[in-house]
Amino acid sequence: MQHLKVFVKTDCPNCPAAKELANRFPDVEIYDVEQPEGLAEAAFYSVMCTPSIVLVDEGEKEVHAWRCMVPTPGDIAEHIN
Amino acid sequence: MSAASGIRVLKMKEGAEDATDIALLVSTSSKEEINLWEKDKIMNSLILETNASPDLAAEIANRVEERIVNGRMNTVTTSIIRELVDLELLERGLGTMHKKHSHLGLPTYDVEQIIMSANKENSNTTHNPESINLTLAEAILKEFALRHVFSENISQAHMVGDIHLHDLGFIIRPYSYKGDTLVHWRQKGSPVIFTSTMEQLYHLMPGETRPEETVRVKYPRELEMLDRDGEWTEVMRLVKKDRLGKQMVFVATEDGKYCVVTHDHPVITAQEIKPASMVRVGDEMETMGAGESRVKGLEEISITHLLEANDTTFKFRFDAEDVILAHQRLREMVAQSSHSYTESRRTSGGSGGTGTAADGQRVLMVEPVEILDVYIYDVTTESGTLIANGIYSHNCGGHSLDYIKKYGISLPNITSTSKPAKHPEVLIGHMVKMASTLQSHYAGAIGWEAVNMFFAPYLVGLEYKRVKQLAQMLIYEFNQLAGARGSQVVFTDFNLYWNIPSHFREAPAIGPGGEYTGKKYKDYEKEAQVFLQALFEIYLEGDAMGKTFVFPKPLLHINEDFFRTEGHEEFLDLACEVASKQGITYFVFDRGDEVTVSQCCRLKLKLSEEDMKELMTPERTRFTALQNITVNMPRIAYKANGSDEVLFTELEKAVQMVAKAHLQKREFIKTLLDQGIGGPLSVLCDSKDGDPYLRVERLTYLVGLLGLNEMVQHHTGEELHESQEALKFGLKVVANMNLACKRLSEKYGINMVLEESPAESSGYRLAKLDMKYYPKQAERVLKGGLEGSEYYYTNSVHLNVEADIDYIERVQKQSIFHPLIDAGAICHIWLGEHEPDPVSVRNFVVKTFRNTQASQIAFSPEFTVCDDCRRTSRGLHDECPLCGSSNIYGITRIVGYFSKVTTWNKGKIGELKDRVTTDLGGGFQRAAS
Repeated sequence: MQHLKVFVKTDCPNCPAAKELANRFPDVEIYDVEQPEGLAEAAFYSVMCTPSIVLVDEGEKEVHAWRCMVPTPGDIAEHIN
Repeated sequence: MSAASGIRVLKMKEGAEDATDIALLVSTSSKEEINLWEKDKIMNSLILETNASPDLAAEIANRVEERIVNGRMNTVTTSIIRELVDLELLERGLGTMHKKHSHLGLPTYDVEQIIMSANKENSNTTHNPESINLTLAEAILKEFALRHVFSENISQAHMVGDIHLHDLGFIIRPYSYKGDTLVHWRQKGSPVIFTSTMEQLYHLMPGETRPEETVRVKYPRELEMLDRDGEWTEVMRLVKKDRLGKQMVFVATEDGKYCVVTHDHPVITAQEIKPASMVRVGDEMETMGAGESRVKGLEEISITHLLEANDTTFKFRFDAEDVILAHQRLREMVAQSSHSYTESRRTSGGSGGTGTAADGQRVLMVEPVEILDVYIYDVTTESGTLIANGIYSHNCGGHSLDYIKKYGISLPNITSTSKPAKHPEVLIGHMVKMASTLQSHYAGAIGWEAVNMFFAPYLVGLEYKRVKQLAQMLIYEFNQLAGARGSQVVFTDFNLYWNIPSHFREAPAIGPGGEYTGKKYKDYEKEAQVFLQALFEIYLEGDAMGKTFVFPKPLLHINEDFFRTEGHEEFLDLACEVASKQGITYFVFDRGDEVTVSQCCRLKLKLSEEDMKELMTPERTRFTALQNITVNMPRIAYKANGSDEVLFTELEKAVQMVAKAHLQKREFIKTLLDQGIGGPLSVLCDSKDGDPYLRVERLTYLVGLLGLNEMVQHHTGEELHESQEALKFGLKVVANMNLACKRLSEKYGINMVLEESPAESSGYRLAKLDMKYYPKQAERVLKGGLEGSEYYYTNSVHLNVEADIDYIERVQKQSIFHPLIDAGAICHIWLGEHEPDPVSVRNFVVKTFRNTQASQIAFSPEFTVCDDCRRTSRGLHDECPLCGSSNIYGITRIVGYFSKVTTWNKGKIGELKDRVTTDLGGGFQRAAS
């Protein structure tokens, strides 16, 4: 099952928008990169800035990523099957 | 006459009064100096050294005398007396007094061992008289540090191997101005010049950071300050520091200019640059009337007047409202006037060295002064100089090679002074001398920024043959300079660029004779490239025996611009050929400058604009051993015994302990610095901005990582490469440490970051201690051979060196840790006897840059060097494959440099045997032997 990983941080102007967008989709995990779990996960997917959204497959493998940006809902939908 | 007066005392060296006595062996040169027994000496030393009360001192002295008399000794050494006194102190439970009174030294047997056999702690050191001195001195200093610099619990943690405190390092002395020193500045390119005090300027600028408790820093944007000859120089940094009682000096010149600076502040006189306290009446200094800028069609505004115009009564110290008002006004004025004056700007800024504005003026007065100011200020400009109070002065920023080019060589430990080099050969000489002086004050590498670029102005119009000759000279001079501590080769890094890095492109170039050439560094790209090409051709050839050079290490920087610069393909091919044949190339990846997101959204704050600017100062602290403390990570897993909760609690405790140890060491260094110009670190202040390492406000406190792989293996049952879960758990551990560092940095006002400890010897030491204290647990995860004690922990966050995974995958997995490790990380690719096709190397390098987060990679071949036929062959062999001789030695990369395998410690030998090597063909092969 594919799902979205959303990487956010406090004081990040575009993060609320990214969260809101991601929440339109089922199976979303939000990671706070100022917490150890979030930072570790971000490093794992080479996320260097927030907000970033990574779409992964059931094996947690990256399918597509929007790093340092907020995609449109259409962008995301296009990559989810 | 009492019985005691018959006792003779055989005086050993601790009887000497001070360090000079001890070093000269004044009291022991005749082996023994016989004194008559004087009980009072015990009393006096107890009172002097431990603050004991006279009664207690007398009581102990009596008791000791009694023991000596009862023991029927008629000759005692002072060290026996000291031990007897210590015993009395301990018996009375006076631990602190005992600590102060105790004796540091080495048993005769140990000294003999040090003299007779080589120290393998650092394989760059050979066995020679200087290295013996170094080892002996280190033994005493280590003991001193553990007893007196660090608290008991931290020393204890080091002794049992929870952490490893690396050697004592050094801290550069701060040097600064008094707050009311006048400077002249403007918004970049604006015709309006402001005159204000340093203090005012500092408070006008936004955005304060606080890298240390006593240091506040601002990084202004687009701010320029008046420099020599009416030139403008960009301000990189403004610093406000606690004065901490530093002595200030008042310097006045005959034209009425004066300034007050810290006693060790570098002052530029016509003859040389020297600390303010060394300036003498009659010395000539350059001064400049700020009013002269008016002649050049510029409008000058004193911030003081500005504030008055705003109906604010002028106050020397502003409150917040003043600052806001002045700020608004300043913006308005800049906006109003910028267009109408754009033309006149050219007439002032670009005139370049007409010399009309600066005059030589005699110094009339130099006096130490008492001031009440709590804070002192510092400005770092791009050129390294500025006009302060109308006097041409020096600041603490700047970049080393340009510094030497501009000022020549004037070092306190060298008896003569050289003018700026006119010829490239002389410049090389200056570099080498500077490096060897610096090396004697630092524990780590001396790095030089953009060497090929800074050299370029000296190479204009030279034929390639000559350029290559110079490249050869430069490499040999550094490679054969065995002048560092313990007679080591100076550990040198050359940062090299094919494309002129963006932060240097617009910098005005300095050429022969220390003169500005009138061009920018970007105009010298061709010369810089030709020189770089020549350097790599020499690296490819190797030395007279065809052997790879060890130093200077070429750190080739690769960034997006590199791939956009003409000729990069051919050059990358050459660099990769060098990597394949000689292994010495380091590929350093500068990513991040292309990421255009705001600072607040970045994970890695290091990639800030300030940091790009900081590259103007050549060396990053990651290579220094300054206050590097390594955490023994497997030990934490042993303690946790499978519990996540205990593991993360212990991890946090370990990082906290490291922070405390750093603070304790900082205190100690401060006491040395407080001794001022007569103290042991005065030379460091005199090294001025030629120091390529450390800047006061940018001191970095390193937290070293060791054995993450074994930690994860013990805790989860799998090694980092064995499963995604294990790798993610490793990431969680490092992320925890990264965040703990940030938290503690904020708490203590220091900049503490993670580092991949090279751990050349500490890795072995900690493994050995774990075999002692946690043998059952350690045996399960230690790598290498347990029988011959050739065991080791895997370096930092690296994957097991014998893991059978593809090297691409290895680099990918290992490099995901790199963004969490601020102070430097590397992936090693062990080539063994393989000499891959340079094209494979190039593909690997490009893939690593594009597809991973790796900060740095290096390829390491192994060589056998024959002392009989004087040739070098590939791979490690028992005899020379070319002539069959057994008079050979092997060399390969130990950690961050190449060295003779025979000088390696047992742990590293064990690792060498396990290293999986590759020909980059995609497969892997286990190392032979």
